[in-house]
Amino acid sequence: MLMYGWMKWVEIAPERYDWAVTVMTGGRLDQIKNRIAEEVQPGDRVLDIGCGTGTLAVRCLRRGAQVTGLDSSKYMVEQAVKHARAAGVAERLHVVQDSVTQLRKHFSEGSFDVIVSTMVLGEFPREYLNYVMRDCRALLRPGGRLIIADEVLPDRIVPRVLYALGLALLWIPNFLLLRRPLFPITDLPGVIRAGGFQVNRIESWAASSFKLVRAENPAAEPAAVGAGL
Amino acid sequence: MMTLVKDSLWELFHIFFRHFNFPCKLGLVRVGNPGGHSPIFLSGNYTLTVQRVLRKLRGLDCYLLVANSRGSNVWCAAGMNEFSEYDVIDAINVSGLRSIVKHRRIIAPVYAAPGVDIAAVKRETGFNIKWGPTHLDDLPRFIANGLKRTNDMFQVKFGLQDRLEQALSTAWCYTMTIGIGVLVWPKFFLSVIGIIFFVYLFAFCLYPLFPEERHWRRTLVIAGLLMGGMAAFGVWQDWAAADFLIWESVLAAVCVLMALDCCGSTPLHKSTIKHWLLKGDYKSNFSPVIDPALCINCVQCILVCPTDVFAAIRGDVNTVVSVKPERCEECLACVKQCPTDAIFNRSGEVKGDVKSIVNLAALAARDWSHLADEDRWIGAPTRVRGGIPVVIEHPTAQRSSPVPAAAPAAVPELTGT
Repeated sequence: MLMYGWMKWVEIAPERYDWAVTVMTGGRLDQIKNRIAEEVQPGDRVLDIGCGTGTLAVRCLRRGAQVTGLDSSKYMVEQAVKHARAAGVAERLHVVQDSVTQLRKHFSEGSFDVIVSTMVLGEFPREYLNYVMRDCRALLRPGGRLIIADEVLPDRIVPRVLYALGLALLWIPNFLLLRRPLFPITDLPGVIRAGGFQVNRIESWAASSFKLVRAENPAAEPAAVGAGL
Repeated sequence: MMTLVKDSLWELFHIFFRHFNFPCKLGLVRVGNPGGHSPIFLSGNYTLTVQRVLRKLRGLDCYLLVANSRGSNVWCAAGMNEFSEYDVIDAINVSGLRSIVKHRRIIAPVYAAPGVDIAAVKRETGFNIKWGPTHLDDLPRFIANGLKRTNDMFQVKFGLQDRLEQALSTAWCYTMTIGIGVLVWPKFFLSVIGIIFFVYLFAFCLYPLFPEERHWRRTLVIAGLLMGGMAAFGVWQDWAAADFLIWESVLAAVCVLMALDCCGSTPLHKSTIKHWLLKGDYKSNFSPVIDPALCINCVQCILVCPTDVFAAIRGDVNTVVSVKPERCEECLACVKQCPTDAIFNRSGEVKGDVKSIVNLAALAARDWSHLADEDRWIGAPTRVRGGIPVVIEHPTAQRSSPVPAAAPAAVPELTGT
């Protein structure tokens, strides 16, 4: 394989990101995004962390929510606005181009009813996740909900080994399509609980290698805000 | 002893798989026993680099901040928009660096410059990014020199070790691609793999001896030498005509493949394949020229350029000019760092490899006709003063003179002496 041609092929991936993700997840992610959007109520203030091309944000907007999309890529943020415009719901979309650790800079405490995120957190190691979870807790109103869908390492040992094997085989097509090494999160519910959330429901797919976790910011306990360092 | 063997095997594995992403753990690494005033070095999370940097930092009390470059090397990741200011800001935020150290300085690899907007890092975190040496081998000398770069630490080098690693890892990629053929037709494919390794090692080891890559010159010299050698070997071994035909063709194909493979924003060959085949030269599309009306003399372009394209002018007016634009490799670090978008592009085109500058197409296509007069600085002699190249002889034309911009006579009389 010509290295230069390979690199060129990889470079064109951003424009085909949605298509690549759909291929890589076998269309599963689109269904999960539909289900997440169903839980959003009209008027909810929703934060979509890592909104990408806005596939989930637009679904939430269609439900009548006020959506804030955060992404560090200018291209992605522009795509999200474009898609929202095409759907005729752009006036309720607010986008912020910044990094995921900068949440506290843009939003004040309790400014969201729902925080959603799909296929984003897998990119970050545990320390980053802990940091982001602390911020999310501060930004959610008491009783607000956190809904996260991501690729995770299976719970049991046999699926875990099979999964690692599959990941190794898929490594090259995955790299070509997404240009991102995928790292499944170990113990996603644990990460969310460590952020002070109360996990309400966990759904799993594909030998528990994909999880949808719904959690809640408990109202009673005073939120321990750790983001200020 | 066992650790030495283990370390060597580990290193060898990573050299062969250099073209692949191997991410390592992100976050702040404490080297030695650092305190509030210890220096902080920045790195991407490419495993091989991080291990090598840590080895260079051994014996020092400092921090290594490993930020997310998606497991790629810093230069590629920066250009591909996979290692940006956001990744550095994330690493600073999560590690709590602000409360760990008292100073606000991070020494970053200069190869991060095409991707990391240092003004944004400063604005969001308060940390100043200072550029370290271009090559990590220079880190010990950089540290010994009081964390300052010496004149020989700016330029991209392509030393024997780098060339060897590049040859092995690239040949290994091809080996893996055609490797399945070994099961079907072992003798032929093993021979082809042998030829690939030989051609790459030959060309990369002897790289400085070959002519520059222009109009196929380097490729023809390498192919001619190797094919001649093979012909002599064939005569000695009494090869049949068919053997000659097959193996000389394979060898020629590998030579051409290597020539095409060296295209891109690399020190080897700065064009795209298309540009090289059509125009016959190895130059970048990008040819920088600075607008003196916009330049604020921050000298960032000089500090980040790995090929010494720019030089400062010191005198009545302090500014920066483009003196060796033909050496540009189009990493576009200067464009990324320029706070006033003062760098124009003579060709109006870019290769498109660099993805980290959002409005690049518009910036690079801007009309530069008002800067035709700036061509007079091309080839101007420079000398390094205070760590940066400075133009030592002023061309006759005054910078502020009302000479019409299109005056064609300006160039020849400049560098006459």
